[in-house]
Order: sequence, then structure tokens, then C-alpha cells
Amino acid sequence: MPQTLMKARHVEVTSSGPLVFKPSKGGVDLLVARAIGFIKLQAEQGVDQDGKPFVDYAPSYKRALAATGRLSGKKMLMLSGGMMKSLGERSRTITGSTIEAVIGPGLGRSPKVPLPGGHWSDDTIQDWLDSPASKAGGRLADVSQNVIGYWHQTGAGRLPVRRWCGLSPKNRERLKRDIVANARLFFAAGR
Amino acid sequence: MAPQDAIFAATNRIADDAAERMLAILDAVSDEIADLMDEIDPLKVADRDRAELRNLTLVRKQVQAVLTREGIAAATDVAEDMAADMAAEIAGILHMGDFDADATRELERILRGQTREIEKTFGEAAREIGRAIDAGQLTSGKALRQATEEVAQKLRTSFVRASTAVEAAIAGTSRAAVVSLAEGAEAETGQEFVFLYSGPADSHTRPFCREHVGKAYTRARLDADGRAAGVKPQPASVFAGGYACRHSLAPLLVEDAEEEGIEIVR
Repeated sequence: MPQTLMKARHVEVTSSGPLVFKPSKGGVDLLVARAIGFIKLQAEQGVDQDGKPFVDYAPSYKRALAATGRLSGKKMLMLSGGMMKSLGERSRTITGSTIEAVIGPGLGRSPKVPLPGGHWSDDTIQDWLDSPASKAGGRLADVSQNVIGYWHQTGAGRLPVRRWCGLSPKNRERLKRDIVANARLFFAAGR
Repeated sequence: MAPQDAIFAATNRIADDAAERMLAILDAVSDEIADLMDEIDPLKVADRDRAELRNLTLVRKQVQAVLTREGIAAATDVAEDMAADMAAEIAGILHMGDFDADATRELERILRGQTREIEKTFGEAAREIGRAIDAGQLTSGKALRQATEEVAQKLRTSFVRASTAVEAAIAGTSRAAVVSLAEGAEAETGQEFVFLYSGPADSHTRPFCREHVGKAYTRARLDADGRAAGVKPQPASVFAGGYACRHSLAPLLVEDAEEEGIEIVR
């Protein structure tokens, strides 16, 4: 039976059942675009997904960055720009009550950024040197941006944990507001 | 695998393959020229002046032949193959149907532009090498090995430039996908998006990026600024500050940009 939710200038609910969760493509696009924007905004502001400042670089690493003119204020994880540039939607799954969109860096690789004092750039992780792939003759550039992003996110190896690929409480609230403000994109009449 | 990931993987694989083929060609050219030198060397024992003159004339002709047959022609072939492989891979990926029509058209436009750039880069390298030979570098007494190395260097440089074009296509694809998502959402909700120009602000940052980083732009304004500044390639909403640019675009609703105190430029 056809359902009429909107008619003329007033809402006329003729549904015999409750509203059901039925997100449209435009609605999910909205959330994904917003989430990508927020992750990059947080990195610009130097805060992680808990809304707290990123763990600072080690003094020696900072000195190496400064020596090559690559210190960028409070911004971090942007040395080659590869990880942030490739940030995008990797998959989306919509089930009865859930939208699951996987957002992360791509499979591309960043150019190596050499730094003095034996330091490797954030995008060319020291741990790579100790890895089996490296010892088997692999090249540093073989580490893809999604792997580097994972290392940062989880603190794999010797890296400090910098949970960059998630939404801060403030930005999670903004997404919730988006859903409420655009309810017609997420709900439909039905049983 | 998501289309974007598949494109990243395919372009990286094709670029790696092209690099290996280019190195193999360089090795083959170097070996052949080294063999030529070995054949010619014994002539030096006779009349030195006449022999050297004959040597140089012969070397010039033979090196030209080797370069044309194996070097320049092969480099151009590699570029053409690389462009064709990329086009085929991307066409296949796009047929997966996960992108909407607008995004697909945008991707094809970006990649077509960049494959032309790769061909142009190799074409320029071929002309440079030709000019070097015509200018008589080999007949001016420059050591043959040095000349060979110069040719090899030109080929390597052209490969680096071709790789840069590939990298720009990959990064441009990613930026275009994010912009396309935001504009799709804008059309659905009527809420206006602006794009925060995000990325490093260090001493390596280009003037265009330094001027724009940390501010939010409408797509039209960013593209207009890119045209005015002459950044290459265009448009700035896809390629940001140009080749090897480290910056990206973060879609934000106008109200959020204002709340965060970010300057909005229209």
C-alpha cells in the first residue's frame, strides 16, 4: 500500500506502521563525506579521535624535521600528504539497522622523505627495516598508505599510538545531528 | 576491493612494470653501445687522427641507430603501453558500477589527461636526446660512456616525470571522489559544503598552497584561484597545487567551518 509522508506544506502521516530505518544513497553520501572531512579537520587541528592532542613527536625527530624545514606547527601525520590525500570510502554495507562505511587510506605508496640523523619520515617507518619483507629485499616504498595508517592508529611496532582515523565526540554529535536534520534521507514509512 | 583501491593498485603495478621495462631497455642500450666501443677501439692503433675521425663518425651513426631502435622508440612504446594498460585497467574497474555516472566521467577525464601527459613527457625526452645527438655532443670529443650516461639520465628523468603524472592521477582521483561525495550530499540536503584546503605548511610548501592552506573554499572559487595562479594540471579541486602536491580537501558544512573559526572564501 503506498505511503504518503509529505503532502503540500504539512506532514500527513498515513502510514499504518512506524517509520523504518531505510537510508538513501544521498544520506549515506552525506555521512561519509562529513566523516572524511572531520578526520582531516582533526588532523589539521592536531587532535585525535578522542578530541585530545596527538602524542608529540620525539625531540630528536622534531629536530630532524626542523632541520629540513618540515615542521608544520601542530599538524602531524602530513609529511608526504599521501595518507590524508588517499583517505576515502573503502566499502559500505547497509543492513536492517546499521550503516557501516569503512573509511581509510588507500593502497598507494608515498615517496620517501629523507631526514638527517638516520631518521625515517613518518611515512617510512623504522619498523619496516626490521620486518621480514624488508629483510627479504623489499623496498620501503612497498609499504602502502593503509598499512602506515594502521600503524599510526594502533601504535604497531615502535610508533606511539595516534588514533587519527576516527571521529571525536564533538564530530560524532555532528553526524547524529545530520541524521536528525535530514531524517527523510534515513527513514521511510513502513512496517 | 573498492574501485578506488583497485585503481591505486592497478596504477602502481603498471608504473612498477614500466619502470622495470625501462631499466631493461637502458641496460640493453648500454650493453650494445659498450660492444660498439669494443669493436672500434682497435682502430686507434693506426693513423690516430684519421682513425679517430672515422671512429667518431661511425660511433655517432651507430649510437643514433641504437638509440632510435632500442632507446627512444622503446621509451615511447613503454609510455604508450603504460597509458593503454592504465586505460584498460581503469575502464575495467569503472565497469564494476560502484561509482555513479558523474564520478565516473570525472575519473575518466582526469586519467585521460594524465595519460596524455605521460606520452608528452616521453615525447619530450625523445626530442631532447635527438637534439643532444644533433648538437654533435658525440663528435665534440665527449667520452662515449659519458654521452651514454647522459642519454640514460634523460630517460630516467622522463620516467620520474611520468611517475609524477601517474601519482597526480591517483591523488586527483581521490580528491575528485571526496568532492563528488560532498556535492552529491549537497544536492540531496540543500546544505552547502565548502572544502578545507588541508595539509602541511612547512618551508617546502608552494606559494599557492601556502596561501590556501587552512582556509575553506567553494569548489568554484578554488578552481578559479588555480586558473589565476596557473597551477598545473588544472583544476585545483582535483589536483590542488599541482604535480606532487601534498594537500587534500576536507569537505565541511558552512556552519561547521564557521563554528571552527575557519575562514571561508567564496
